[in-house]
Amino acid sequence: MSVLQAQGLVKQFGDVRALDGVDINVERGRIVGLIGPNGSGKTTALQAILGLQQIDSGDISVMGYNPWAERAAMMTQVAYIADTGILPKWMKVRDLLSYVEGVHPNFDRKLAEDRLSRTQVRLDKKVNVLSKGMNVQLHLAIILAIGAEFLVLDEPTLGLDILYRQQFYDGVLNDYFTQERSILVTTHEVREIEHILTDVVLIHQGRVRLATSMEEIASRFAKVVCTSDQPLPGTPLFSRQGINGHEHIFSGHDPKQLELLGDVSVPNLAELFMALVGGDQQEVLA
Amino acid sequence: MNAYVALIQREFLEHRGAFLWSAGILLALVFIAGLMVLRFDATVADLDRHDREELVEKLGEEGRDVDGLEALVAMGLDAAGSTDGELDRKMQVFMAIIAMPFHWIFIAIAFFGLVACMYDERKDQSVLWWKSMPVSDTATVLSKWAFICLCAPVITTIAVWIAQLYSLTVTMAFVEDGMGGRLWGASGVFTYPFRMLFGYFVYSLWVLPVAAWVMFVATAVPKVPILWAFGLPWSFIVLEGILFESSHLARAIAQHMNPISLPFTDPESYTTIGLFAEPSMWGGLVVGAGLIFGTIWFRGRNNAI
Repeated sequence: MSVLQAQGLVKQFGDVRALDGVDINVERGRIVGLIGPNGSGKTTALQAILGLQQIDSGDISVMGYNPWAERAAMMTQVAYIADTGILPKWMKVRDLLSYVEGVHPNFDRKLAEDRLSRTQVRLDKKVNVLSKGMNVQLHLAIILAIGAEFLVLDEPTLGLDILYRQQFYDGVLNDYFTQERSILVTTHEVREIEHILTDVVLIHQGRVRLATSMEEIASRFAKVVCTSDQPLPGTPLFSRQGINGHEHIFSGHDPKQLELLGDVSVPNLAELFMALVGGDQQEVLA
Repeated sequence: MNAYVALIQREFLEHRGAFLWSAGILLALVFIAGLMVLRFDATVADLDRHDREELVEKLGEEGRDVDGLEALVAMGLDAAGSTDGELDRKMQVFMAIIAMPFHWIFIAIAFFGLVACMYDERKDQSVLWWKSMPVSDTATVLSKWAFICLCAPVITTIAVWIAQLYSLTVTMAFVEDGMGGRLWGASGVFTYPFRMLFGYFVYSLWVLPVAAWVMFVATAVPKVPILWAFGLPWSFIVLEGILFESSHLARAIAQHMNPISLPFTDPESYTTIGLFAEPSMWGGLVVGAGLIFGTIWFRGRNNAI
């Protein structure tokens, strides 16, 4: 069952076509990575999915809701963490919890307070005195206590040190994710999350370049580091000179043929992205 | 808990500093003024009415402010020598003098509050957080308006009432024996807060086009909302003056800013229910409702700046 179905999303900003017929599908129990460089359209897509941006054309259904027309109702079942500290800085943590308790029918305050008691976040502190790491801990505690069925993460660990980043994803995986829940996540730190993804949507210049499962990637794409002079069995998607030899990325080729060339492995998402949209994306996805 | 209660509480937490501090500071000033008057008492209480009037004249010649409590003292109230009508009038002036500073400070804070409540959430990006909660733009905008225009006046009213009670108590030092009861009765101090609250309720509708305009601008423009809120109407006023040699817009704005439904206003123009018979009230409500609708519309579309 789909928690998100977005089809043919189009959004134009002046001369720039931010979304150009984007399709995104998220099934229940999946963790989908929406991957793309700056300006690829992923933030616009997320905003459309969350009802924060009206699209020019296309259809979106999130948990059966039209996000633009029914955002408030939809947000009872959808949670969202953005790339920057968006919690109101003037509020005390306790007041913030009271507010969520007041407006959100599914919020379990005790759960949030229990989780916060295991962190350095104190209830009598204002949000503006919390570090960015503690801000994310607080936000995550609220999200987990809401127990939304669909979680949208937009660069959630941007600016965090490695310890907080690890804690964040551990929290999401261990305390949030179940087979009944789904996550859509965007991040620049692709390598950090690709091991937790079940599916990936690669987006570039407003278009989806690849939308598939990680299993499909593993069976369809192969990266070869050439150690022999054997001729290539076909045209690779992408080639470059690596430290250990020529690297090629192939799609849909027989693994046994590729093994004759050298070491075969599954390309990581950054490599796959470069293969699909061009080498100029190396920096933004590294 | 009802979501609207949570929304109003949220607004209270955000704005309580401005409303409570301003009321508290004004109350402190009234308290200090009362103490000064009591010190003044030793000299003045012994003076007869003629001497008091001379004192007022003298203070005025020296350029000293003889409004407020000093005026009252100097006026001597002369409760025994006044008819009921005269005493009522004097006491209403007295009550108004106490209430008006609170009102105009409230108006100033409400203006900045209406700007801040719609603009700051975009500036600090917290709008994304608020929108991640199951609360509609309509509920959010209406709760912001309701807090500042309907709930915050309760703070002002309570502060005014405390100031009036205190000032009347201080005044007891200057009235003739046995006239205290007549003075308290003429002041209407025990019904004043109810008249004031009802007056504020009617005023919140009367001033709706102005309040809604401020919210609308703060939601719609990308920066310097205060400049837009003042500048745009001012430009139209100037343009109207140049093109048509008229001042309808300026008069309409001034008319709707006038606290005509509040008990401290000019008795000649004071009205509450009567305002609903004014076409200008209904016209203002239509304009205000349109601007509130525009505010809701823009809040749905405008996110972080």
